[in-house]
Amino acid sequence: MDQRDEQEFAEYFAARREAVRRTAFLLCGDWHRADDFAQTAFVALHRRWRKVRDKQALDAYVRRTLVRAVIDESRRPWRRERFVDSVPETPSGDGEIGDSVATREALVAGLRRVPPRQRAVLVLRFLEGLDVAAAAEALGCSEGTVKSQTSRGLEALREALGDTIEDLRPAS
Amino acid sequence: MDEQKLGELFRDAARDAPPPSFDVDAVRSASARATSRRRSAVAAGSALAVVLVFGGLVLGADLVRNTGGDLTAAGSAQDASSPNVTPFSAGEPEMLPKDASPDLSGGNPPESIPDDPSTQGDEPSGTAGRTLAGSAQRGCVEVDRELAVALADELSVANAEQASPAAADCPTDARGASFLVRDGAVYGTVSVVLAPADSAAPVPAGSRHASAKTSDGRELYLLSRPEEGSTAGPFADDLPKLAQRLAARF
Repeated sequence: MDQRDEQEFAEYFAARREAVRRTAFLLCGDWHRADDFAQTAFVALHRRWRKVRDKQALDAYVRRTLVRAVIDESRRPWRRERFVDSVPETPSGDGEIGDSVATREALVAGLRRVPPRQRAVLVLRFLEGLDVAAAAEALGCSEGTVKSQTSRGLEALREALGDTIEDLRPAS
Repeated sequence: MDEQKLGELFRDAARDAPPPSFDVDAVRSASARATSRRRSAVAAGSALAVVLVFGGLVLGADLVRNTGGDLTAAGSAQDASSPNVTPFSAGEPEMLPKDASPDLSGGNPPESIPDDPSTQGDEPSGTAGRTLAGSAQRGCVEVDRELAVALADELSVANAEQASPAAADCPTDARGASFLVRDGAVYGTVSVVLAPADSAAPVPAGSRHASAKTSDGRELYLLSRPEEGSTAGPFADDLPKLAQRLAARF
């Protein structure tokens, strides 16, 4: 890449790094792995930077790369996620801040119990704020699949959280 | 809980992010490494493809050359055939004439061609070179591949396909093979003949020989004949030992 491309990439990277890291964190539930996934997505973007003609599509490309990397890794036998009966750390509410932290931790722990693809749908829709069509494009599936996965994902999240967070209703 | 509230919950859950463990320089260097690996893989793949294609071409050309040589020799044999002699490496017997030239892959061509070849197994009227040796008669007119390989193994001849018909007065039903070899300063032909039991010794004049019995009772003769410039045949002193070793193989 020439100097100008590098500069443009650096600007995009600075603007989007934290958002991509947050998405990766909710997708995998671990900040260290989230950084690995985010870096993987940015490296892929850097390698294709000159080929990306539509700069408006950068977010979609990074999002797609990120989601696929997380889902692909969850399928590898040595990293395959295991579901357990109980949430590893039970949050204990203690005042308003304590409640907030407990809710946050409960949501992250609950998301880790949701199957990877359903989790990706929930993160794309509720963290990234994508509509059904955009989520379908990012995941490479139909809009009907996104809707059904959203419903199942919320159901799974509700089961995982129990009474920790007030009732979650299907949003679509 | 509506979508908006759920979105706030998700955003809140990912709020307290630790300092990032990578920066734009790390991304650039990782990208450069990945590109370098990709190029190396492509270069290695290309080199492998070139080697395979080149190897295939060489192999194909070699096959074509061998096939062409066979057909050419077989075609020339149609014009002036020598009876009782068939090629050693006849890959497609049905394509070859009944009478073919001797030893396509080595050996010397006949010095003269008989004018009136007989189809009754009589001796040809012409003289022959080393491959016929004026004595490749009746039984072992063809190179026996099994004997050729065994003899090549004992004499340490690199290419068993250079074998010629045995230079011997072979009885009927005998088979044989020979090699033109150099034993130090001695230059000559070593022939092996596997003949039925109780058959006459197929030893032409001027040759030394040794014999041994095979496990099934047949007689194996090993003959050594000097070529011009040599007084004694190659491996003349080792003939009994070699004959024993060869007989043990059959």
